[in-house]
Amino acid sequence: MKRREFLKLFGVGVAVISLSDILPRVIKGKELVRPPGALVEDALNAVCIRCARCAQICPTGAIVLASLSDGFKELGTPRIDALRGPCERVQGRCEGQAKCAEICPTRAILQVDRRALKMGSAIINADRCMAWRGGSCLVCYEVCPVQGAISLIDEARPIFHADICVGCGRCVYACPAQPRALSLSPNGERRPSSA
Amino acid sequence: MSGFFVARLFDLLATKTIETHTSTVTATVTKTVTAATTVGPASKSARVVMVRGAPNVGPQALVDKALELLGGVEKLVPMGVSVLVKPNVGFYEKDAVTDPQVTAAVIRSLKRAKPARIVVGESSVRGYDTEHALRVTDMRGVAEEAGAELRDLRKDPAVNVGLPKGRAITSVDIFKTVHDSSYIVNIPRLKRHSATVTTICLKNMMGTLPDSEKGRFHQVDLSQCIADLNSVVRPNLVVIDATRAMTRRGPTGGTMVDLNLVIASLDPVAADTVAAEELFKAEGVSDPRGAVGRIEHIQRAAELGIGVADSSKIEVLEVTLS
Repeated sequence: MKRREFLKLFGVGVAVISLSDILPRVIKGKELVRPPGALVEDALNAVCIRCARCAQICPTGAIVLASLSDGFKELGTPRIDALRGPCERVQGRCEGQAKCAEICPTRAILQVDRRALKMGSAIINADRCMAWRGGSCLVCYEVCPVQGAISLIDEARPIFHADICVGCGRCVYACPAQPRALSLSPNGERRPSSA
Repeated sequence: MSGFFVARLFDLLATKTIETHTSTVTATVTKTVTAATTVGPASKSARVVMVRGAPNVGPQALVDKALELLGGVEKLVPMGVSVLVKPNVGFYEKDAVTDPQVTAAVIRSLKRAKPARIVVGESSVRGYDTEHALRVTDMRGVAEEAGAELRDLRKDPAVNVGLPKGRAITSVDIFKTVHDSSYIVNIPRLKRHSATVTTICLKNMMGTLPDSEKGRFHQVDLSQCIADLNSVVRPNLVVIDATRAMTRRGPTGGTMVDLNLVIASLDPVAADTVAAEELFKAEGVSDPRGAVGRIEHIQRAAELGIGVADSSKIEVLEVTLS
């Protein structure tokens, strides 16, 4: 086999392997945690004009724009990345008004009652959690703004109540474990269906 | 030796007759505790003052009396120094942070010592914006009015300092304002803490660290790291805001108890020891002193020689203002 043919074949192989992984994901899209008050998925993807203003105004930088690996339909729409910052709609600088909803020009994100907020829920990986591994860390419990979302076993190990958790991501952002023991999921989210 | 301690005891008792600087406030020494006979020649001792107030006594009178009992602010703080005031403004909820009025009272007292500058510095808990925390808790407005500059320490560059006595870590990054301050006044609120049992003076010093270091402390050994930090970044003066204490759970979401109490000392370990005991008493814990003995970061700090955690070697001067 000539060097040139080998490289060609190798290139095709790499492309097939990577596409076979990415393609279904691009078409189906990932389950994304959306900003507070974002319309239901299909409506959001249709109404959002990908102007990025919500991401620019978010005071914590929690809103980022979905990339191609998040899905083709979702590309450019806002999602919450709790590793960048928590959503402060439930507590903090957006308590009065959600800044993302305020600035959205197409009402893809609506102003919803912060007491009815449910963006998703935090999920714990106990194998990574320092408290579950016997260390003295309860940062998630310290920073959680929603009473009852996290409770403690023996005053030492946190358990998460997905039905009470609103998915603000404050605990995910603050988790000091490496790699992080907490992640945010849209599980249980409640979103308005239309403007 | 015992003669010396008897003399000191008399000194303490002599403060019973002290002066009242306003006509409406009278001071009564309700209790002095000292264990002169048990103090060996090589042992260190510490003094902690506790000033309680009747409900109508405000924070300025409590703070003034506490600092006066420690020797007076003009003697404590060298003239012309750069003072860092470190309250706890880690969160957005008022119950979880130091009362701005207590902080302002300390700032007003400190000004009498004519320092070069007084900076109130904080870096809030990870994920909490310090500027927003200073604003929503009223700390910014109240402390500025009292004459201090306010500094979101996260805007500072970090300076690496060695911890020669450190057992868990050998160096730590601290913020430049903290590094450049020659006199540190630590003003924590008396609170419970889920991971360290209490958060008072020693734990409050974590607010002088960048977020990366706060994370590392949890990964390595939180209690030992807190002790290691205080071995170098040691507050010169501590004034604990126990006007309202957070009991049962913390550092957020606990039950608030009105104590109208200010605890002050030059020894952060002794102050934590006395204050933690008060917190447990307020909760009705059966053996408050024993419970303090199980607070790891306080004991680790004493082991490093940062201060005194043995209650029998702490002189507590308790005063009530009415």
